[in-house]
Amino acid sequence: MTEKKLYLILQSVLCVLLVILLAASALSIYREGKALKTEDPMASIYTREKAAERFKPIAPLFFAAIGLTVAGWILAVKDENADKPVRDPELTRNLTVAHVTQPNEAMKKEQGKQKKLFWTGWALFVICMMPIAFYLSNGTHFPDGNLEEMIASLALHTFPWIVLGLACLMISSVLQEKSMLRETTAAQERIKEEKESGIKPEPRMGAPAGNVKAKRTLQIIVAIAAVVFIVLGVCNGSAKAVLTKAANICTECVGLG
Amino acid sequence: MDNVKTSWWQRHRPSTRRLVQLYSALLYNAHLKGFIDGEIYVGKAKYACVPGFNCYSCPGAIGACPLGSLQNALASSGHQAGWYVLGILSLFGIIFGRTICGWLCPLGLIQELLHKIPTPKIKKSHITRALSWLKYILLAIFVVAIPLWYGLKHNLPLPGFCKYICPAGTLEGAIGLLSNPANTEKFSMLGILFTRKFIIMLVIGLACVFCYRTFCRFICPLGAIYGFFNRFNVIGVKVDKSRCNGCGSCVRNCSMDVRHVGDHECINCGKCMEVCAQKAISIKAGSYTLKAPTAGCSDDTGHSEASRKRFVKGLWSVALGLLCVALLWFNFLDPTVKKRSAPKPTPSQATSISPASPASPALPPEEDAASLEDITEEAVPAITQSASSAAAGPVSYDSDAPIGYEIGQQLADFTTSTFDGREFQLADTRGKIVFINLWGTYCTPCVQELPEFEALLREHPDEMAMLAVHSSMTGEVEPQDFVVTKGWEDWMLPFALDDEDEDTIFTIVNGSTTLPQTIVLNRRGEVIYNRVGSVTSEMLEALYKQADASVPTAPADN
Repeated sequence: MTEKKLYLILQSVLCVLLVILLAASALSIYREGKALKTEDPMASIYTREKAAERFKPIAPLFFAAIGLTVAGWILAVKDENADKPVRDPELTRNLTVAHVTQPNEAMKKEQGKQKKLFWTGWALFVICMMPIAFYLSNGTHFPDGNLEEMIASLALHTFPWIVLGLACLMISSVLQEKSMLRETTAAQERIKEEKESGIKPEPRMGAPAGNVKAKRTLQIIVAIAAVVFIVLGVCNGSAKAVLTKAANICTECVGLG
Repeated sequence: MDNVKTSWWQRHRPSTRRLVQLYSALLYNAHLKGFIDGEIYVGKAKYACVPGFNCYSCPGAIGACPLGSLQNALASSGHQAGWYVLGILSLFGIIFGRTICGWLCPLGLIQELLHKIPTPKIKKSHITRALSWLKYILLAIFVVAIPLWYGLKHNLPLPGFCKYICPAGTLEGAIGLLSNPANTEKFSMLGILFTRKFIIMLVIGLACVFCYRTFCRFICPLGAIYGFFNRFNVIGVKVDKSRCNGCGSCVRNCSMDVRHVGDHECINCGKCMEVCAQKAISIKAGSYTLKAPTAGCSDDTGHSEASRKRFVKGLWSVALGLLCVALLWFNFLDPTVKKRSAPKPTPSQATSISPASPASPALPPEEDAASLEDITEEAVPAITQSASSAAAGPVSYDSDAPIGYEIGQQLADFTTSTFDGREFQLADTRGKIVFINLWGTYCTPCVQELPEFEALLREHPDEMAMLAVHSSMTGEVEPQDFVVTKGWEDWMLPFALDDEDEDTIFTIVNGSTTLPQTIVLNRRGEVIYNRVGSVTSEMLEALYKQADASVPTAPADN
């Protein structure tokens, strides 16, 4: 293992450890404070002193991470692979297929598979989003009262479907990628065959330019509509509502509450 | 040695984009005084939304957060169309699109700086591309559904994303406020919400170290909104199709999950310009090229590199001038900042507030506030006549505490009109335990806790007096209408609106822009509790008992 790799791993471990310790400290302050509050409703869960006491032991680790980072910058240590371009099977496939005049059976088969995988992946994703949509469209799932119960119920009913839906998309992407690799291999073989049989690839046309005029028109329409909306908003008081909300500390937004 | 220094500087000097990011972060948070005082800016500039992600509860923020404003507009959509926010977002979107993400967002800057920490990096793949759809789901649930339902059904302003997820609020708002010793009392407000958001902020921060712009790519709903405009925005990265040969270098070298340059995932950072061998990519504003791929390369309109450089220099001069003006204005010249900096009159010097009557002479010095009779007759002559100034009879609850809002001090007298047309005079409540609650219709915790106050008052109607005072700054709904809509007009709890121009109840009790705030007085009118933060029914009961114990109900012998 090179020194650079060792440095990178050490830095990673420090960062992860720092986050774990900070999160654990916050959790422990909360748990202890909550227990105290059960006995005395007037007690505060968090105090400046408790926070300082819990976070003080983590400070050396924090400064060590900063020191290591500064040293890394000065010595120009970094993950060399980070700046390298990614391997994109789709792009490689596109570039290779562009040189094929007539796709062979293997290529057509893989193209068909990719289309099926693409649409299946998206269909499954949409199906997984349906329960979420039904849940969100029912107002009884957003009752007044204990908001913590509402958010817990929301998480229970939506997060599994989100995970499943995204997993379907990911699996579909991975399988498409594999198919693209096979298609690329088939395309390379086809290129060899065409070369041997003297078939010349057709010159590639440049990509068609977009409709600039239509785009300009849309920009102007949206810009004018936006200005009209702003004026309407000033007149109907929604601008004032923005000021009112922004000029008062949103205690929920900052977690004070 | 010089060559080594130069090459290190060449490697590490900030790019134009980094300078613009730093500039915008500083401009959005030009109210630097807020970090020193521990208070947020409350001036008129907050009518305007900044384009990028910047919490409006950050002490330095001079503008409103577009995403927070959108959620509030959706929460109010039952009684008011949010045209203003819709217009602002559309205008930003069509002009900049996701160029805002790449150039004008402080949170984007923070993520990129975290990503510079030298660790192994996770590169993009088809998996991260699939994960990038998560932000649209979060947009639907937390930005649209939650505020909309709670606004329409319960008249409760609930910014779902801000409250449960947003790391900018935790970092800029919470830590920005709490790190100031002047806000030590705000620690008492922290609970499960802060703990959860703090952990979310840490996890997102850690993810950004390993994975480029994790928040932007997978979570940010504002990026999702601007992404809709990205194909049509005026300023951004554009590809010259006649030069492009489809090699894909741009996409392979891009750190975002793009399929092609300028799609909904592209943040228009311009990194692809450097790797395009065909020099087909440039940053344009309409047809004008802002940044060309090579020196000496002219754009379609024939502008030379020299004229482009002059234009950009001119832009920077204007921008720096604007920043200087902003720093001066928001820290020294703005009337709201000046007003905050002026020494606050202590409540003993404050005139009595009585909206129906003229201003009264100042209250006597603290040492002379010996008896209620003295205060009633000499110190506050403009008190409105009421049935209970047949407190001309013998009074048992004397206090020789000084006038003020601190614990142990006696709250200065005031009179105000309530929504049901009656008068509330603090002096009339002597002998009773008094709860004063400061609230706002736009403050969800305030609205949620008021029923607890009503329940306590109904339990002890003869022993207690209460008053719920709405801030003089009203939202899109008038407080009177809000009370009627909620069905609270039949409550025993009286509601009042704080006066805008005169010395106010908020001044007397040391209220601020942080709501809710609860003040509890014992039977002698002495403050036993004065704190910002939500209160539970258990806390209210405990406070009642504390006030009851501090002064017994049996009248003292004179």
